[in-house]
Amino acid sequence: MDATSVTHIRPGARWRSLGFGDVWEYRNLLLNLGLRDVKLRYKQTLLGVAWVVLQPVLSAGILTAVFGFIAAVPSPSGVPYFVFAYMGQVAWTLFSLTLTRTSGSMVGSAALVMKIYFPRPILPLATILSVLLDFAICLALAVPMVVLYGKNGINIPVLAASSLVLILCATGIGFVFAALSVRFRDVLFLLPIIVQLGLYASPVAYGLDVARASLTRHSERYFNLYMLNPLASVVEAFRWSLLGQGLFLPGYFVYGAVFGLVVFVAGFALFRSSEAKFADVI
Amino acid sequence: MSSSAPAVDVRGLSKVYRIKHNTRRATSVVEALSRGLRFRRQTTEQFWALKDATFTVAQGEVLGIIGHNGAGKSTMLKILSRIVEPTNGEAFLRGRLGSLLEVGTGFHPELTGRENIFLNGALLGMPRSLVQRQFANIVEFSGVEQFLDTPVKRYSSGMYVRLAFSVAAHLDCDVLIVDEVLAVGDEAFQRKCLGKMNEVVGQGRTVLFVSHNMSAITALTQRSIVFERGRIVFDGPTEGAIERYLSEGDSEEHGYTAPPRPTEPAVTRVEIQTSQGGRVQAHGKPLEVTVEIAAPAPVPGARLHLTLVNRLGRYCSQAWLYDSDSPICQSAGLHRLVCRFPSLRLAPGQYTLRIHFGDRLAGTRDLLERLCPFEVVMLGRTREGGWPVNDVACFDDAEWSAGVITDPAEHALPRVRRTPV
Repeated sequence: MDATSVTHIRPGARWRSLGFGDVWEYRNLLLNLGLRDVKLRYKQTLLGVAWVVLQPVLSAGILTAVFGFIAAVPSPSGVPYFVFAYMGQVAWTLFSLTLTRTSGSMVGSAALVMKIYFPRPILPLATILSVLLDFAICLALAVPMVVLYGKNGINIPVLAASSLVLILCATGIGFVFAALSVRFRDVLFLLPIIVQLGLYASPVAYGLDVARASLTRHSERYFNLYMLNPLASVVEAFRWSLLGQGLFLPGYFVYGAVFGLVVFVAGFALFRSSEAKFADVI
Repeated sequence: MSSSAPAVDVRGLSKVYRIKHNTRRATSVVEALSRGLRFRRQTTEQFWALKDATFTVAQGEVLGIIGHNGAGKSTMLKILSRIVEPTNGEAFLRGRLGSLLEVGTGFHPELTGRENIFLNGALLGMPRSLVQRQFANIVEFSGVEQFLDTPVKRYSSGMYVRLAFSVAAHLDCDVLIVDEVLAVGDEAFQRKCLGKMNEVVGQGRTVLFVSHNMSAITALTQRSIVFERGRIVFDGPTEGAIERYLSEGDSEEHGYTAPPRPTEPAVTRVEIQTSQGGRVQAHGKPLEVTVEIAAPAPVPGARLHLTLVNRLGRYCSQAWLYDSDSPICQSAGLHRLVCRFPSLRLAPGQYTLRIHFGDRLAGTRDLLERLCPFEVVMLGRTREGGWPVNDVACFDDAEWSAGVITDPAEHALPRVRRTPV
């Protein structure tokens, strides 16, 4: 029973609690903070939830104008470039929004950190709920496109796996950034640049087959170098699961998945190990 | 677990903060790297916010905690609430811990009262089922039923605070830490809060109760500890503790000092120079107030309000200094602001200073009350029947002219004309 539980307070106590147990105990807070974000996100906006859909549509529109028309990047046969870019953009938005919001979560809630105790990983984790909701809406919009242009219908296991890997990756890096941002706000300035770099380094605006063709024309090594980006295969796999076209490379996908898991666990551990000092420094 | 084991067992808790002199804390990676390369040449001083605190609280006991601002009370409560970690020592808490350190933290202005109840309950660690079970009680206690579905940004400050306290007051816990939350709302609500606290105490819960309100401390506790400069200097019957606390105020230096904060500006010293020295200020004579502010970085839109408060808590006079009027705190470092009242017009009585220091970013950085007590006396002037004390706020300069009106007819009062209805 609770009444007999003893809390032992001592220096470095939280160093030893790298686990998930106390986070689970506070799941009610996790849910409430997540719901708060959802409720607040589009308050006092004219278009409200429409923004959820407008963001990837507009981004895909820009990509279409620049890469589809000007640079004339090819999309798979029978698929309009816009649809192709939209699918990539949905995957990329899932990653970048998760990363941005988890990273900014500590600084954004400094008042809570200084005044109330709760397991700190709650703050980054709670931001994921609103991202997932946006993601679900964007995915729903992708369904009619799949019906019109998809080859084999939706490959749900690959779709789920690639989404999960994107979230794990983003959250893991987000944990590191959130922990660092408590002491060094610099990382929050670095963030948009990393996100932008990632967008171009991953097959969002172009297909992985195009990247392979162009890079191997110079040297096989360049493509291998390119594929060091663990997200490359995952973003491509995400789109492949929807359109049924593209370059799905299972080996690289496993690499991406393992990377995501490792980053998540390592990020979480780093966050937990520095957590105790947050209230002193933030 | 035997029932005789103390609910709270604190053993030598200490907390040290490092203060770097003349240098800001590194807030960017480059700065940290360049500091690292300088082989730690800057001097650091250790500041013990809490030193060797040791005490126990039996189950069902209510312990009062008193001490002046900056004496270490809040640091200890933050350690016990697990917000910060101690540097040394350890503590054992038996049972579920609830802490009301700052009522209303985590309230979101855009959310409705109902939504905030659930969010705040979750923040305080209450499971959803408990909030649901207590929902009716919380709403009833707060008295804001009508506005449950209104965003709390439309609430009056009284309603806001009442709702916040109500959520916190319905926490289900075995050990409750209460920091000065009774100082909220109007008098009627404060009585209600005190009643609620009595109820909590009656239920056999263990309570650590911090307050500057001595009558509340006396009403709720038998035993109290007194903090002074980070140490516990008294542990015993509440009457003795209050005596110690008040006498400390007398022997204490005539001012206020606090350590600088690493990342935000802070008032580090307040001092007054009375016309007669010590605590005695003559009416109509100059009074000087010195405020020092340690700013780790420039403070945009800094503002300082200096209010003179009489014994009844009435604000009698205010002076202010705004960055927007005349630049202050525009660089990192220690700033000294001196406010001189050339001839203080306060009426006789006992007064204290209330200092509010804020900036455009945070609003409030420091709100310090009951500082630098002093007494205004009428020196060299007498009045038949004596001077009122703590009665009016000030005796202003006034110029009288008085004469005799010799011809009453010339200055006759106008006659009231009656008009028929």
